[in-house]
Amino acid sequence: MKQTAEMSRAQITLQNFFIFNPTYGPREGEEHKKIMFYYPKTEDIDTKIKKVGLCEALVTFACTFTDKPCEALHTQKTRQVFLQPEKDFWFIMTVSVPYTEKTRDGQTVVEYHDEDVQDTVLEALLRQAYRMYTLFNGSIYALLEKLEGNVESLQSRFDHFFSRYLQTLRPASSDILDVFCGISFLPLDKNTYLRVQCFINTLEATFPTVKYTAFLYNDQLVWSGLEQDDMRIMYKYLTTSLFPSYLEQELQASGTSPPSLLDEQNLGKIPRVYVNTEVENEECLLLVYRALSASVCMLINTASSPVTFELCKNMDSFLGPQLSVIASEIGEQYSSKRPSSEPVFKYIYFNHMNLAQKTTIHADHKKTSGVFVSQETLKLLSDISSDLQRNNQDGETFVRTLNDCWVVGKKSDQREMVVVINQKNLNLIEVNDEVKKLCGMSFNSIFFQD
Amino acid sequence: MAAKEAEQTEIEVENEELQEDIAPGDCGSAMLIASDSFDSLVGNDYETELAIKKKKSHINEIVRQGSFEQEDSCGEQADVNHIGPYGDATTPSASEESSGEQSDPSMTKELSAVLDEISKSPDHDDDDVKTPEWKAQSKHVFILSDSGKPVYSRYGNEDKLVTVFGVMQALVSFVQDSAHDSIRSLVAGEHRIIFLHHENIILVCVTRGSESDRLIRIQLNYLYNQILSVLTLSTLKKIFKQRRNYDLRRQLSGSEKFLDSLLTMMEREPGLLLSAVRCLPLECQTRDMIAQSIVQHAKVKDLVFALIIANSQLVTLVRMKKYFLHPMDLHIIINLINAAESFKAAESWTPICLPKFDSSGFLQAHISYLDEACQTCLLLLTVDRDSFFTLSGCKTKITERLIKYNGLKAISDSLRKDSYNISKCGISDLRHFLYKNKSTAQYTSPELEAPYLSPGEQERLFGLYHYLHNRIHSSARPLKILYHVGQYEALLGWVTQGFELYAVFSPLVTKSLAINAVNKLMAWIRKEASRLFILESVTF
Amino acid sequence: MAVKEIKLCLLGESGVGKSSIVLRFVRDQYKECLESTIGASFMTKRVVLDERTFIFQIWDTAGQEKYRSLAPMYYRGAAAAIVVYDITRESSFPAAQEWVKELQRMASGNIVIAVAGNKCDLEDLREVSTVARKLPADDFTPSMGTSYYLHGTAREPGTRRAQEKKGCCGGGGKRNSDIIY
Repeated sequence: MKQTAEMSRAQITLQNFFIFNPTYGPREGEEHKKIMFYYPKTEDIDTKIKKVGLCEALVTFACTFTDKPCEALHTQKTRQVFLQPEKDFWFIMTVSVPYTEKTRDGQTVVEYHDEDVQDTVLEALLRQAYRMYTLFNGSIYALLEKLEGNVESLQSRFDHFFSRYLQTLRPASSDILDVFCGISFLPLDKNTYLRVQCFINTLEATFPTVKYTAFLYNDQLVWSGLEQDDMRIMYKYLTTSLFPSYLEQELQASGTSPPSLLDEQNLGKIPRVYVNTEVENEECLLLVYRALSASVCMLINTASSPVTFELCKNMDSFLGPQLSVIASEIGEQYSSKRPSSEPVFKYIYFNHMNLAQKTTIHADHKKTSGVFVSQETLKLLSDISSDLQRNNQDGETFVRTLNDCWVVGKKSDQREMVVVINQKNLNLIEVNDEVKKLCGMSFNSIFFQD
Repeated sequence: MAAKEAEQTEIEVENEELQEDIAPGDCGSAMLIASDSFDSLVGNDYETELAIKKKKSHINEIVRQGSFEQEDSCGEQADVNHIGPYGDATTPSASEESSGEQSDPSMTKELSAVLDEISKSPDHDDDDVKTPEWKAQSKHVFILSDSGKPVYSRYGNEDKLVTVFGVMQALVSFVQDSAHDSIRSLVAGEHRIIFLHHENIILVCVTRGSESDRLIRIQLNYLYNQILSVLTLSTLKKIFKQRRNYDLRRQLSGSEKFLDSLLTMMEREPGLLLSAVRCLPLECQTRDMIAQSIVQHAKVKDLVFALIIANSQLVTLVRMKKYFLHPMDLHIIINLINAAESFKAAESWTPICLPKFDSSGFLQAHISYLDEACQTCLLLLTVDRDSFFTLSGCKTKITERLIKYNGLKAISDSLRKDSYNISKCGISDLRHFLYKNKSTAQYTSPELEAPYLSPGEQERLFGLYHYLHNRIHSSARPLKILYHVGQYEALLGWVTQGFELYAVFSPLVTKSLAINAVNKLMAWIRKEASRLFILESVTF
Repeated sequence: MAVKEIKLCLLGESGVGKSSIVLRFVRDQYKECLESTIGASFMTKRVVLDERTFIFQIWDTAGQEKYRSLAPMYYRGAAAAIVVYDITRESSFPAAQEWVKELQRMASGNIVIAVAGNKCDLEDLREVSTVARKLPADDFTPSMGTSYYLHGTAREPGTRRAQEKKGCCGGGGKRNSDIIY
């Protein structure tokens, strides 16, 4: 028999991330001008030029056969995804393919696990990176116009944003949730919901400079006046970046945290965001006010009156008392509903129409405190989901893994659900019954026949 | 209906307590190599390399066992057969020298050069080839040498596609040289471009089809093996060692049709997906009689394999005790017979390399049709190059016996019956299936019927099987069962240690009906196993 | 009645029509677009001549380069060889010359070599002129005696092919070109 010893598996790591525009520096010797941003910065210029050159070559090569743009390159050791979000601007991200070193008959063999890396997940990460960039910078062409075509300024904007953003990128722990990139909604009873809405109406009436508002409780969205796609990326920013750093500040009273607007010096630090809800690239200032677990997120158009210290103080005195009351009211409802331990059913639900997302597979949807299923199962979920998505039809898929875990995917009328049932002795029909039970319980049988 | 209830859950019980002998069609000793691991068909370059080094030549082994003096038949000397003094691939003619400048292997193209080449192409030589129709082909295949010399293109004249070939070579070598990596595939919209790089040969497939990258890579490997079957790996290596820039088309002229037909076969023949062979349904006594006719009349020293093939289906296979035939080699043989009309004209005597059996040398094949209608083909594969007349004599005797005992008639009767319809199994809701017995590497499936009669629908059905097969055989996340309900059908893929089953139902079938149907089907296959499969492994 | 077996072998570039010649000789058939031969195919033909019966064992070899090295297997021990070229393809003639040279060097001493210029019905497409034909047989083997032409006409209605045969009969004179028809 073959002697095989397997060593631990290396993780997926980010190898590079770059942005280029092939129309800049078309002449020989000017290739470096095409590079708008390149991570890691320490890479020597020759390597950068080569990597960009290869991407360009691949993009052109693919044109021989299709009019669609390049999406992914698989090599034995790496996986590279392509995105051309705006004309001639290519975003490229490369990660390593995990491998194990095995000793077989006294020789070391490196085995690459190609299927551990999923294109759909990486593509989602790259899209998210671009969207996050535009949330804070607007579209590339709009910025270029504002910069009067100054490419160097554009480069420094890219650099400013991405050198920070990439530090938060975790390709190894990305999964199907990044593909959905959905929003977790907080279901409230009618009265409470109406109170929230009423509160927001009063807020917007009292402060007409507030153009858009969103209301969140903990990490769940209650109400939003933003267009869906804007809210999606805003939600991502709030829940994965702003709120965690705020909580950190609360707990540690130190570190880098969002500037408080009750300190006049911080006025200039209010972040600018760009939304497309009413018009393209609308520049707004983002104010977030938090009381207890409730947050109100307000967007103020920069073109209207400026944000003054006065305004902030007024807002504080308006928001403070009202928000606290609403927050504690929601809190009462929320704690009575909250699941206490590991859920009976492990599932992820996503609605493509309203981006509503719910997961009991992840301890929380930020994925900070772990998942209740194995990495393998988690990847299987994206396999099943992407198959269903690709067919673009309603359907359901039941699979049983080698260790007898059942995974079920269902898609119906833009709603999608994946369920993990880890009971070894169930058969297909019993699993089917279980899933039916779940659908009936959790979603009042709003979905799926059979 | 209590009995029915019990039956419904049976699938689970079986699955839990599955044993080897449960797989219908099992037999004690197999004649084909059961390639359980799908990936063993591709292997990464490193492993193949290792395997080749370790693997001893079966042909030399057999020849050495012969009693007569063999010194000159072994090792180096055996190669004289392949590149003789006259077929010397290593003496380039003057004309080739000049045409060889197209792509100089000694320097890897700089990427800028690649870009140049690509940008040149729109208004260049290949404009007349790269028409919208050409672009719209759903599956392109390109084969080229390491140095970028065209070897084969499925569509369009290779000479008019030098730019495309050049770019492919440049991409492969650029990734290799700049990152010590190897390019595997590129995704662009619906298209996937898959690269397979063997020593000296690069194969590229551009597809919009449903096959997984892994399956495409297997298919490219088939094409590579098809080339080896004409040249042998040793010769291929030798040619390129002596002259990297060699135009391999010189050696392959006349073999392009085998590559074409192999590609067509991949689109229609599930055996390549399953790595299994379909047998012609025959009563087991008839099959025995046919096998015995061969054993009796072809007991010739140095005869390694004797097989009868009818309409791409295996009738019988008799083998030398120690040796087995790999399904991949058998597919290469079937392709050879399907693609070459010339065998129908007369008895033929041709060298053939079976890469899985021994990639370093040729077997000599005596190929003849046993009947007037040219349906039943006998192949006698030997290591003795001088045994044509002996084997020709065997053929005559085998034919006589097969006629005497109605063997040929049984074969043609079975062929006329068009295999079998799904209705034969008597299972409602079941539309089509593939069943593979893993240990014998044989499979069975019914004829295609409505709604899978149009080419488009057939392609879609194959797509469904590709999907099932790919997900189930995922190397990272393999599955035991996959049940999928879509808009047009319900699918079941079920893999155990002993068998693989892929079944297609009408979309409205309930899960319990489907499971019931599968249980019935398994019972039917078990009942029919002796007719559908070759259960007896016969040796000389 | 005496029966004599005669081993005959056809050589020449791919596509010159070796298999067509054999098919005409053995079965008196003609097929348009005959597929190229794989390896070599074997046929026999019984001919009665002057009360003697000859059984021709004919090796029709494949012309492709990859099979070239296999040729000795077929011409070894052959009593006669027909080297075929295509009058409409210039390159096939030097190839035929090479074959004749090889046969003279490697085959048994008393082999009869015939050279056939095929497809003479396609006279208008002729690339190999009758004058230019210089056969090594004439140059190097004085023992190869008489040679003559036999012009065939298109035998199959509607086809433009026929066989033009130029036989170089050996000094032994065992066979002349009538063995072909």
